Amino acid sequence: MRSGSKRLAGLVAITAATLLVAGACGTSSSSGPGQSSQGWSTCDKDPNNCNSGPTKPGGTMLVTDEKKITSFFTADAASNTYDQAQIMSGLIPSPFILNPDLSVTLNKDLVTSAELTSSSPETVVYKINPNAVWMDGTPITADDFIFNWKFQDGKDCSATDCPVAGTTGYDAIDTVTGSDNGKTVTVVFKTPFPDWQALFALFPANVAKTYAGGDIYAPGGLKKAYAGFLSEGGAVPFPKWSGGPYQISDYQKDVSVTLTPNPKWYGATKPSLDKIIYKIILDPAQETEALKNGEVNVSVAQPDGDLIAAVQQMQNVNYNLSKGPVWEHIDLNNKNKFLADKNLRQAIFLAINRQEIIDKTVKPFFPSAAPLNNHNYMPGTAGYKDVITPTGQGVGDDAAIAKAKQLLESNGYTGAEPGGTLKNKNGEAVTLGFSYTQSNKLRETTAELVQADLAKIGVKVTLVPKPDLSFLGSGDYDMVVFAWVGSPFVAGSKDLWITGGGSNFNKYSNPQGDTLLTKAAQDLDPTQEAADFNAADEIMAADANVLPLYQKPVFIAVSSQFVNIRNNATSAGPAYNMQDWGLKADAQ
Amino acid sequence: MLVFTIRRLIQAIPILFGASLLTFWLMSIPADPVTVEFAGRNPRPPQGTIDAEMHRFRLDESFWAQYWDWIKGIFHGNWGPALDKNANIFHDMMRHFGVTTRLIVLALIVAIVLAVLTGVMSAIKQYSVRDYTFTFLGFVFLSMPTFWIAQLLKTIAVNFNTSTGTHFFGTLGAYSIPQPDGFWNRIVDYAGHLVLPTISLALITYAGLSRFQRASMLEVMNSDYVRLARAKGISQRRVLTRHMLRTALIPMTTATALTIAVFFGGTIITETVFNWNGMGVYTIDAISSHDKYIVLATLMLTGFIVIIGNLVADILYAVLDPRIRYA
Amino acid sequence: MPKTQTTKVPTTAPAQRGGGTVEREFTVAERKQWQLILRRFTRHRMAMVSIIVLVLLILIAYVGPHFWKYSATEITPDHAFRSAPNLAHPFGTDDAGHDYMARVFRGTQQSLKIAAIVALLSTTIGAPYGAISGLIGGKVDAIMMRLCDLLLVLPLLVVAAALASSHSGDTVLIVALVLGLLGWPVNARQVRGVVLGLREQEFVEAARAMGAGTWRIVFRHLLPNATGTILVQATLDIAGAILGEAALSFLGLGVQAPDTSLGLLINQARTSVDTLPWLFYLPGVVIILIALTINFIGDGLRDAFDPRQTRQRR
Repeated sequence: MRSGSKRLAGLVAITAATLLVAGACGTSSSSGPGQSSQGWSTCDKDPNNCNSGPTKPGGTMLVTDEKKITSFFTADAASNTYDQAQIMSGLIPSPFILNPDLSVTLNKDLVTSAELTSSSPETVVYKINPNAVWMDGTPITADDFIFNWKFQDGKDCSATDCPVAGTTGYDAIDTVTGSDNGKTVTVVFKTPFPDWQALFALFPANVAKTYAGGDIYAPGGLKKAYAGFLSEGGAVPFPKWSGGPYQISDYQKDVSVTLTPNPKWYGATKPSLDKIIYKIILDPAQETEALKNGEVNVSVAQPDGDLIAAVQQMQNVNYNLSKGPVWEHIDLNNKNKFLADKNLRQAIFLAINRQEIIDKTVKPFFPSAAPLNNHNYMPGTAGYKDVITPTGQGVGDDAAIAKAKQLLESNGYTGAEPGGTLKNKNGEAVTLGFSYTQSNKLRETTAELVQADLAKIGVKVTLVPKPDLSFLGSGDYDMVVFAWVGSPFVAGSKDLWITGGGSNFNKYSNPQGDTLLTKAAQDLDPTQEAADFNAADEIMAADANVLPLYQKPVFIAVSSQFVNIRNNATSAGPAYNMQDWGLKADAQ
Repeated sequence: MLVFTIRRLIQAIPILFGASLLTFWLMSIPADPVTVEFAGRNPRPPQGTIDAEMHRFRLDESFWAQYWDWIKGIFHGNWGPALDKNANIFHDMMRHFGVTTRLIVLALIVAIVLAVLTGVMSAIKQYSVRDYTFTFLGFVFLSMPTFWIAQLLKTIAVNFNTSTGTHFFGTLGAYSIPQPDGFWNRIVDYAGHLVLPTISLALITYAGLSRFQRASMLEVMNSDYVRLARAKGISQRRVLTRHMLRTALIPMTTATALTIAVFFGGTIITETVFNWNGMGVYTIDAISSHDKYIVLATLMLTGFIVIIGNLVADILYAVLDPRIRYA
Repeated sequence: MPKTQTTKVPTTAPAQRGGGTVEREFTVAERKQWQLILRRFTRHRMAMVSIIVLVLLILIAYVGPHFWKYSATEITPDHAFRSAPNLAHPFGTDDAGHDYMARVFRGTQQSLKIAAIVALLSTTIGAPYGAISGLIGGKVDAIMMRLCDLLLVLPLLVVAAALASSHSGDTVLIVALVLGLLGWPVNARQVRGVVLGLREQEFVEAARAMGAGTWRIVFRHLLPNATGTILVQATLDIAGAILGEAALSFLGLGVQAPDTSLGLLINQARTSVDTLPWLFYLPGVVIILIALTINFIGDGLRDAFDPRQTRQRR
């Protein structure tokens, strides 16, 4: 009896140990670190056609969703998250599409044309596709444009009644009028707004009318309409409408959202999948095993060395890493008593070695990571111009350190030696705190490297880990590393750099820069806009306010039986072409 | 005893509210949820929106006004605002509570059965190889961090799945999505998802209970009436089942009551690792996003369970030992 | 059990009775209480082994770093990233190029520090509190125990989260404080249970009759007789603290980077289970070893102090 149970225990232990090890020695479908798995090798050069192919009808795709759903009304401030927007991409039509290569193209399914017909006043004319209808049969018309404008312009509905995520752009509109049976929409702006292509992701006016109980624009009508849309995900289990290729057919709170094709979809490509199910997985570490276990087919988790290594070992899973408009950067608080001195700021940025930071954080799993040299535009886009290299910042080699030392010493500082103590004119030792989100290992490494870099000019840096980014608004930091989500629509960046800008946490201020930024934010001509933004950027780069580090890689992993689903690093995400997703034509 | 129980229940009320006040205060120390939610967003939401959110969260009121509003709200069934505008805290919490209960019940049963078996077998042959093996194994499991066991099991299960090509072990949630068709297929699906978390929880708990069982078993075995029964010639087996077991099991009930109380707070890690939507995940999520009203609600519920559990344990303890009399 | 007076029994017969050799009587000296307890403890084999293992572990963790060439925070000059255990790095290296053995040493030190502080706090607050409460009894006892209930009801995570966010200073100390301050009620309850049984005994009445105050009774009579329970509970506290710290760190509310602890190491290695398994398993093994040895020692103590549970060997 005793020996029997012992033998059994031994057997169980050996089996368990074998199974533990077995997974680690699996065969891999690609070798060495790369940006894409072997099956997707064309993706790096041609991101728009990555993983393209003919589809066959049928199939269920399981996609991860990393956040719980609060409401499906993505225009609301609290519900305006990436994951919710992804799901709603299947329902909400927009006039323009953000492509994986960061270009912006017309959504020909919704509008046959959308043109800027006049610059003063700025006038845009949309011609809605005559076949475009909502799922209940109502045609998509100017009424929808008018509704979306009114509830987001910050005037017709107060912030208490309509707490929207943003009024930018809509508050610049003067009138919206329909003609040709509502199929032509003329939008006239009162102040120039260059990012007009970002506007009018449409919520249906006829549904708003039902929620408002009649006239949307009667007193209290917008409030009721807003409340109605907000209740989708609560009192109303899920939106029963759609203007896109898919509709929501089921929602289990905190568990999953099921999408099925919209029978009234008017677009060129009809969806081939039977279902798309978004599974809510709150802990990103679980996504890898879920992918391996076949419990999800698509994952867009934050990439790190472990994830890439794990995915490389998985058979039948392809992956891609792309550079996105999300960029990591180091900020200096201009109000800090030491950092108020421009010379110190410049010296600090001269001493920081960006390449070393990249080599020790993202490069091991993302070989094409490179220092970013512009604050508004991404390399590969038309407006990009290298404004950092001319300043010599971010190199951190011996020559740069020497230059920093010289700069400091000729401005009254002493002790700019490796291992020394930097003191300013008043004899105060320069010590700075470096804040970062504590759960992020890459940022911790960045902090440690900056600490070592600045020790070479005698600046003492202490690491200040923080649980979240809430300290930014109150300016409770000296130096900080975090990321901005950029966009092909640049005009909004003005708020990051302009004096008193809502997102200008550093309280940076330069009057010449302000003039250029104000002008840039109203340039309707993209070339002129870029010229102005870059001119302001050159001034700011010389002022050493923010040092861009690198574009963060955006990751996607897809089971190999699915095609036409690809990485899209913009905020549009992989769901930008949901109607194209499908099973590979020769899949089992 | 009745008076004692009622008195303890009444005393529970100030305890719960005292704990709630402390928790309310503690949750007010870190940044408020609205700031955390909108931090680092570009473009920043309009000031009007931010103000509206602050108002909805009652953050424009004083500390005591907020607390008093919360208390008043409870009596109307309104447990306060949450970040999710569509949330009804009470309903959501009950939903999560149900999920956790499903998870716990099975684990508890498995743990108790294992504990009794190993504890009794250990005691009967004290200091034997069997005793040492059981003891050692039990202690090893007792000494493992919860997520270590859970992760270990998960890794083994996933490797099993991939190497055998089946998909029996589910690591995500309580059931597969989409659910399989057919009654039996669904049962198997539920089972496959229940196995791993149940084993994790059971392994951690059975060891402690087992030691308890072993100790009380030894006490009974050394008592006079058992010695008398053996002296009279009654077989070991009969003595065991008829005389010893019943007495020896009684302290287990105390331990079980305490364990249930502990369980509700302790499933956080298992739920996180296996992605079950229980109370643990609900609470930790709310703590990370500083959603204090959800945390308060879960506190009241788990606090209530802990108090009841302790009360039951105390009553049983008094029932056991006649020397203890509660005035 | 009350301390008994030791009595000495003569071991030799009175000398010189007639001629011839003196025969030694076969008698047994009645041992001191402590000797009995120690004897019972040493018979518990696993506990003895555990003491040795634990001491070795502590020594290695504290002395090891002095002999080892890498420190826990330096990025190793040979630029070995994510390497498996080898001669140069017996525990491998992690994502950021730190030598893992150095990190495990440091992590062990911090975890042990936390465990020790927690046990100390819980015992020094909890034991006297429970004894006083049990001795006085009545309404005072009820109020004191309800205060314990209050602390037991308070969610550990909320307290940890609140303190973690406001002081990003010495997180090791904060974790220890949180675990200790929320854990002492358990000690109090245990000691109170023992005292409830003790206070009916004559020696307490006698002490009172002699004019001893409450504090004196508690510290000179009650606590010493509860030593067994206190010690056993202390070992449970240590084991609980090690595991509790690991759990808190897993949820992101424990020790924070740049400092390290065993729990934080495991948490950071969570995503590496399949790719760099040594990062995940090695600290886990250390945690298990510490908790295991402590639990066995506690078990030995329990056996040693409570003779009802021991039996003569077959």
